[in-house]
Amino acid sequence: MYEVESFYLCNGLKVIMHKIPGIKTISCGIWVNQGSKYETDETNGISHLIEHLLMSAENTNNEAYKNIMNRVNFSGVEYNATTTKEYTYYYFTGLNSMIDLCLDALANIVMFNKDIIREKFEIEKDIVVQEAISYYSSYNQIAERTSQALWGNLDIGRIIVGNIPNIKEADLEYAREIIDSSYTPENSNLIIIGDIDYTETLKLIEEKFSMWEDTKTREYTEVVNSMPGIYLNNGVKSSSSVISVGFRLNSNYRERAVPIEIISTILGHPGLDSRIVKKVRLEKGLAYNINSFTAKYNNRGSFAISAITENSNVEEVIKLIMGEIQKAKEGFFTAEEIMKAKNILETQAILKLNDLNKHIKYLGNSAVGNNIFSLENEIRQIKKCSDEMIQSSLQEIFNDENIGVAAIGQFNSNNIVELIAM
Amino acid sequence: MLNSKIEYDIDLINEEDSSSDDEKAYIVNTKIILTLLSKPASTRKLIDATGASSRLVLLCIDRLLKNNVIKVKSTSISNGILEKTYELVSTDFDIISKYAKSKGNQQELAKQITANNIIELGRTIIGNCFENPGLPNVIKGTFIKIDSSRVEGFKEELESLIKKYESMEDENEKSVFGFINVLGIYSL
Repeated sequence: MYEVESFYLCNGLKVIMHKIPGIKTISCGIWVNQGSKYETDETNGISHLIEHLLMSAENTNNEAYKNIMNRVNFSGVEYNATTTKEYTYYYFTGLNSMIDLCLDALANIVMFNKDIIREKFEIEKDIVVQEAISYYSSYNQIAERTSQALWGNLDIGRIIVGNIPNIKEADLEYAREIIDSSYTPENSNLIIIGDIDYTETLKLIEEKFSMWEDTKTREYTEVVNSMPGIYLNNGVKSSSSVISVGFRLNSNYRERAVPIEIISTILGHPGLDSRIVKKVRLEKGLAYNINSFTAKYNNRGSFAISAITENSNVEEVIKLIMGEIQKAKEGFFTAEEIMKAKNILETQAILKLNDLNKHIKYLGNSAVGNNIFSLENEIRQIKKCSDEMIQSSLQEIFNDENIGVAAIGQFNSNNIVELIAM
Repeated sequence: MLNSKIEYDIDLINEEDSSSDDEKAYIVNTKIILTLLSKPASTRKLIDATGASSRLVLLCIDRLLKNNVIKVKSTSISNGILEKTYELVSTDFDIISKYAKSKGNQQELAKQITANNIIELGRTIIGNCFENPGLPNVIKGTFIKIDSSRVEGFKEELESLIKKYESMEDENEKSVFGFINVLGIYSL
């Protein structure tokens, strides 16, 4: 039985602990609900910059954190941080004996590291700019460009790494204001997994996090564009283009989470057996990289099929993708396809628990969405997903009101937008 | 790797090739302009009015914005949904046809777009006049032989009359009366 302990400290910090008996490592992380969604046109990129500032011991006047990180590095603890559209998370994974040290590191990050050295602030800005330049030069941006097309350049459509001019002009005082107003206990989730003793771990948590002042979190009202749209950049000098046909998943999508994943798996699982991969790659040889993906946020999401192809193939690939989606909508799936997809999802659900870093991320991401992960319940949802649920999801999602497109490369914009129609 | 000279674009559409000179897109542009000639409209209303796909309309809106033919009149937020309303930068056909002319050497197309606009509007007004004979209307074509310098003088008076007509607008009224003007050389 997969069990978790979930509770709140007096200051509003939510804590989730999950004991894994017999393992020799622990992982702990903190998820703060601050990401690119909460930014504006003028501040887009600030959350990611803050992540860099707080994580690196180089940037802060906090000598205690520098000492902690020296010991972390000496002890072989792995650590990392990531900013997403809705949250930023920091995690540390090491031997069981490192739990005290790891929790110390996390506590310092969220409470004491905001005293940033001004000179280091400027250097970190340069580092983040370089990361952004690298990101905008890669095909990987297509997933975020899809969200941008579907939801607009706001809210969950905002690019996480941000706007390069914004980063260059970022102001340290403003960064501190964002930290003060969003890095609050009530806006955060602390996750610990490993062969832990709940009582002892609770003591450590209270010792290190009770002093975190219970202050008010900034408010935010969600806003997205009225209809899905397009992101097109055909000014790129490249022999290939990356394209993505996307669909909005609206506010009730969590009820359909499993049928959506089944549809995604059947249509575009990166293994060679999925419909669109078979058609575009194996039958026509038009793309090597082609797959489906879903992006899930608190109240909305995106489903898309993306491909990288030679410029001259762009329209043909889009036609094939649209053809397979239409075929699925009209002709449904076979029993074998559905069963295979369910098996893949069940295997993935279990596999991600075998890697401690993936495991903690999954728990943390669930916690942010106010869900408590339960392996048994997840597998149960997969198994009991009916054909009717899959069919109604197909009809609801794949329609002209939900569709958008993102493309980067060289292509005829008018032709591309005309192909995207249900 | 993508060799893009754009480091970051807030614009959702960045075009550098000549596909923006497509005739089909121009037809949609014309319909957008025609719709906005009567009053400002939201994205949804423009899609309904043009009958084109929402994606093509969004592409055309973006191009018209960048060419300063239309602008965002207002944005509104209701239940977390952002809606934009657009209006023409100017109802002067010169600006509209200048936009058409600026796309390569498509002078013929520019002429067609301006003429199409006028014909479409005229057709609507004439049809409404026949259906509503009790409402004031003037449908008349007058062709005279005259020296162009005297036409210049008349043109100035006509422009004053147009300004007078424009100043009579009452935003509270529902009915829209059209006054189309085509003064120019008929034959040489």
